[in-house]
Amino acid sequence: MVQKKRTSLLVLAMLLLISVFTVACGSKTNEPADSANTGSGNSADAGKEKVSITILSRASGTSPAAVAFQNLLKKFMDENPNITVVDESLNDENAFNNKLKTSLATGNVPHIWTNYGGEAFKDYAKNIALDLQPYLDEDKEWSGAFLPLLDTWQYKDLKGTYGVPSEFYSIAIYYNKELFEKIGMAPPTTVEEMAAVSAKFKEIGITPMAIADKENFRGGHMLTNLSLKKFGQAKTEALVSGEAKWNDADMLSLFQLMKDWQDAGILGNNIVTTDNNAITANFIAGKSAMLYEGSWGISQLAESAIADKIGVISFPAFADAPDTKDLWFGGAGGYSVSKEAKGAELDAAVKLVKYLTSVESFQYYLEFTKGGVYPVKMTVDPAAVDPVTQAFMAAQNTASGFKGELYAYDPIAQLQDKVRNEIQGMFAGNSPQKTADAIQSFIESNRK
Amino acid sequence: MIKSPLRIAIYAFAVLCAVVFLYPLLFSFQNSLKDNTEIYGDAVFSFPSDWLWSNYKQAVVDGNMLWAIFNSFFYAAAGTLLALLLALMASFVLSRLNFKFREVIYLYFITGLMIPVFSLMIPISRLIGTVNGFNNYFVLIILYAVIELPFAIFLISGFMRGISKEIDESAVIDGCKPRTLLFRILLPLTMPAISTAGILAFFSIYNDLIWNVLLITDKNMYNISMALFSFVGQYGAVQMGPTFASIMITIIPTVVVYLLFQEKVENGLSAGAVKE
Repeated sequence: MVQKKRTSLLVLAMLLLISVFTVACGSKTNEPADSANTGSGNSADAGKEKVSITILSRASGTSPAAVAFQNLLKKFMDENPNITVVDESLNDENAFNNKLKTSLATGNVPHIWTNYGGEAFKDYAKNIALDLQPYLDEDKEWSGAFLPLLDTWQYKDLKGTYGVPSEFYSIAIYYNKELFEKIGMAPPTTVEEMAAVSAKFKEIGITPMAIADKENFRGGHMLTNLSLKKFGQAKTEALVSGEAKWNDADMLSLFQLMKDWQDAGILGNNIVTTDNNAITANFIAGKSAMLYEGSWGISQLAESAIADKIGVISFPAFADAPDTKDLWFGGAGGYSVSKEAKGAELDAAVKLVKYLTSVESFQYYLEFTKGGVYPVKMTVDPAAVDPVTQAFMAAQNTASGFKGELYAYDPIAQLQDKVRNEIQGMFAGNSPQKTADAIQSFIESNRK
Repeated sequence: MIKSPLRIAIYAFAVLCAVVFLYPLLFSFQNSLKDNTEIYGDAVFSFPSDWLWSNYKQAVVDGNMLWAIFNSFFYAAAGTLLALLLALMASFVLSRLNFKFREVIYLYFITGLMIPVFSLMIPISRLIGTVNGFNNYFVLIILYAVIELPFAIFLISGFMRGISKEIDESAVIDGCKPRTLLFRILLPLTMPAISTAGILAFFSIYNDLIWNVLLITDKNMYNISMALFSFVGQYGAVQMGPTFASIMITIIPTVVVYLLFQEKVENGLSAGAVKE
């Protein structure tokens, strides 16, 4: 009996200890109780008052860019001991979207979050994002350094700017110089040359330009590139206004071209089930002559064994469309600030956004990652960056402008998924006509 | 001793099964020592040309994998224990005592089985937000336990109903209190169901991703699923070598648990299959 009591007491004591331990471990990063928002809006107070702000970006994990981002946050907190930054960043797209949507639905909007602007962001701009225009007007040194990308967060029928760029991306083609020397041809500048070059590579058993549409944004990116090169931004605008249709002769010709490339083996095998790791590895291993990839791929390629053999070209243009040959598909991702932030929290959030998007911070990114392209005007010492970045920047300098994805300008938010899924379906076996018709009928049933 | 052809065929089939089940482990181990170029190369079945043990170092140092394993184990063990304790007590009341609304209360608990976890994301996040419960071990363990509770109650109370009530009556006549009846008499008899519920709850919590994504931002509190994201890039580029190394490291505890409780796992899986 005594033994039983002792055992019971011991178990209870252990439970109590565990409870105390777990409670003690909890809420380490939550707001301290005394940091309640006063709503004063007084910047002078912000210098003294302890505040905690949250940021939800895509920069987490162990990639050089993510580590640089984390280092910058630490540096910011060291310089501003009254501000605690809670980093909620998630690199995985699904996890990020789940987290963001749940945060919005529960009213726990992060003070700062990453997004890609455009029409898809318009509702956020109307309802939860802060207009940053007054801050941009107030600090010309900060706002003047940005490349012309602020229109990503600007709308014709909504005054203001609801985000600032934190990353700049564009899509190009990386190519293996050695393999091109092998076939004795120059990298393709036009779609017509692409076919000729590809035929040569097929002869020697090299895949011309494998793409991985398992992450189905790549098919959408390819269609955008082709459309910009062939018809320019006018086609995008016509599609949005309804003047042009997704299944008209122009668009059908682009779908058909993609299908022809697939059938000719230019885009590799098993497009729908292959992921980007596989095609990048094949490119590095010399099994694929070209890699159709964004600027975000630079760091991985720069670390590879063939870094000094990699060249970069613009996406091939159309011989019969010389006026739009230098138009690139590219854009920006950036930070928005929550409207909910008030007083010292708001001041801290704006301060952090300014800090993370300053020229100095992008210089730090450049030095830390030894490359990359950034959304601000800054002097880059060619010797300080890797050869792949140099090649990319040289190619990018030929661009006459950068435009977003075809559907990024459309008010139908679900159009992006629809187009990408349909293109994936086309690579899986659907005809170009069926693909184009499915997109057009979706538009017609959703157009307000 | 000459083996019969049938016996040889059985052994051959068993070996084939073993190869099929063990190959993924070997595949993961091989790839944990390669880089992306080699993993995606042609020689899928080959051993690494250069044994990259540094992938394991990356998994432990950069991915914080050991800490993540501890967290997953802690969440799973504590959540499972709490769920089993609550389920055992609830099952006792629901299966051994007669009172008004018993079936209604039982149905109330069992309804939890029919609610998809994704429909709970927003209300639970909101609830936890209001009590400032993000990044809190205690809150997370209670949440995990509660999520596992309906199935544990369903399993344990179902099993308990099959135990003769005469045992209770005899125990009460001998002066046995309800607590003693439950923990000293019924608990050992219910062990197969408790083991099954415990094993399923443990692995369900151990493999959780969604609640860790939503409720945890402190990297020191990440579980395995979250820590595995460490090697994923923003646009789908994954360092597969360190990822496989992490997977190998995370497999070890589950293998140990399985070997320790092998008999219980196997008995638990067949519990209730045969009326004894």
